[in-house]
Amino acid sequence: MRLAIYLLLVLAALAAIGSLIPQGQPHEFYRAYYGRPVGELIIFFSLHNIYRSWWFISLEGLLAVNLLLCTVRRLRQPKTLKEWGSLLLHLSLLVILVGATLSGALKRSIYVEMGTGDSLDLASYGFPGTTLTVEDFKIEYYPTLEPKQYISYVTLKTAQGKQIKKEIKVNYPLEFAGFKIYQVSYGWLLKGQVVSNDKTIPFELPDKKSLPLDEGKGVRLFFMFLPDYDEESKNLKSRSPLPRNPRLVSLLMQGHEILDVGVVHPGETAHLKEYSITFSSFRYYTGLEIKKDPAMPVVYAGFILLLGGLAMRYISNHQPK
Amino acid sequence: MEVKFYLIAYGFLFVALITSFISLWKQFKYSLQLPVGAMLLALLALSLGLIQRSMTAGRLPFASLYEFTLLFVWGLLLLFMFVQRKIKSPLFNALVALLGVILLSCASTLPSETAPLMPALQSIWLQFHVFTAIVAYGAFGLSFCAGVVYLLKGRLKEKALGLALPSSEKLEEVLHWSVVVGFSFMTLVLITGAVWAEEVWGSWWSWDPKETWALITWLIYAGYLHARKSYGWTGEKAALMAVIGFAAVLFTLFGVSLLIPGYHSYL
Repeated sequence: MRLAIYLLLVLAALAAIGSLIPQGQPHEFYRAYYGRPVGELIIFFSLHNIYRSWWFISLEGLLAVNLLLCTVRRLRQPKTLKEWGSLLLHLSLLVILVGATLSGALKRSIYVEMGTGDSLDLASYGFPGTTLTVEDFKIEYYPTLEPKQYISYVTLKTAQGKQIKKEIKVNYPLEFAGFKIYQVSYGWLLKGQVVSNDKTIPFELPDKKSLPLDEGKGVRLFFMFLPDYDEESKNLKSRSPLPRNPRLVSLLMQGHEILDVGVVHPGETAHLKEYSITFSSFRYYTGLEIKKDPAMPVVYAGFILLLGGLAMRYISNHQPK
Repeated sequence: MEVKFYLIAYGFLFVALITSFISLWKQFKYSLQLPVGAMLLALLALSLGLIQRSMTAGRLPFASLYEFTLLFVWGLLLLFMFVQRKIKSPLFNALVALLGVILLSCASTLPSETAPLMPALQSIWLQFHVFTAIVAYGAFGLSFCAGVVYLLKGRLKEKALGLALPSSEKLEEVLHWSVVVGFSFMTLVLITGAVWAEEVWGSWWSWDPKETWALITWLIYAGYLHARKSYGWTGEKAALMAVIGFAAVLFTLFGVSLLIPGYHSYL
């Protein structure tokens, strides 16, 4: 019991340390940010990945064992509703910890970016016979043009040949046969081609990505999409996020140096040095997270037991007198 | 008008603070009732301000740190109204009023625009999550004040303020009651947060700094409850733990939002 209190407080202290050190960055980050000796210490003790470090998980395990022992001890003697509540409360925490462990072992999730109209065979992601098609993507705006909701309209074709048409919105994932698809991100896909010295390179790239042209010299094209180009502004900027006056901005770059800039309508061609860049079309892509976590029911069962235990433990006439 | 209501609430809290301090030094007629009355009026003014804000925004004021800080004070004052009769302590009243004044001052430095709800906040879970947090935080605020009174009581000479201090048993009872309420509702905050995170981010727990600190708070108060039950830690050690717990509460709310980047960056 004394051990339980120390474990609670030690875990709290370690979790606090973890929240103050940026987690999951590459090793170089810690050496640069904290200086050599401190950075090395952080890496040595896995403080940069504290919640997955063996000693943090061991302490959690120790707490679980402690919980289990306390629960077993209580199991023999509950008489009142309060004692049953306390028992249920501790049992539910064990269920949640088991759920978390199972979830860590069994959860599968992948992130995909799909242009509107694209289809994806989910067989290679562990869902054989299932095809996901993004029919359309829409953003709802407030009058102030702040985003209100991101919506992907999808069709799911199942192995049984069933077709399911659904909307996926933020906070409203699509649930189907044990997996869930979440609306996570979105952006513009820019399509066109680059011609130079009889060489044609077709491209379709997300906004703000580069196309390498000459790897040897480090020459590349950086693309930026302006959905509502502000012609009055001297800077390259968009008046709104709506595609009212679309332009493709192409920056011909060598290293960090900008060699030339072109701004064109869809259907037009920009000439930068020896390169001709034709902007043919643009469309949205949607970023979806496909997730399967068979341990979720265990976690949720733990939550429900916890609520029940808490109610039994404390609601029974607890009032300051 | 909305801001005027907050100013009125601020004024009443100040009145409560000053009158309860005066009554520590010298008792006068209604010296207990006056501060409590002022705090009740502050609660009313704050409620009117929040109602006005809800009507202007077309939603409950549950979205930004500014809004939550106001709700924090609201929850603190509301729970105080239930508890104050039990201990009748001017020092306790003064501390609650002081905490309210400090929190309202903090709120006044935060961005106060009524932004429409971003997509991630468009969920029924927002209401459950924030509502339970109001109760939890208000209760932890009370337990902090009771803990401070307890610690001061041990250090003050019996003569100075001696008359104004409640019995240790009463204080301990209020402290324990408010931790139990806070802890129960904090459990609800964590559960509603986890269920919501599962719906919105696809992960019910991701060690986001806000989550982590909410869990730290929960662990500290769980430590308090176990220590009290098993070792009968009811004295200064328990009071100290309630104070430390509240430091974690404040860091979860302000420290994490302002200092550490994360998913919960809804300023």
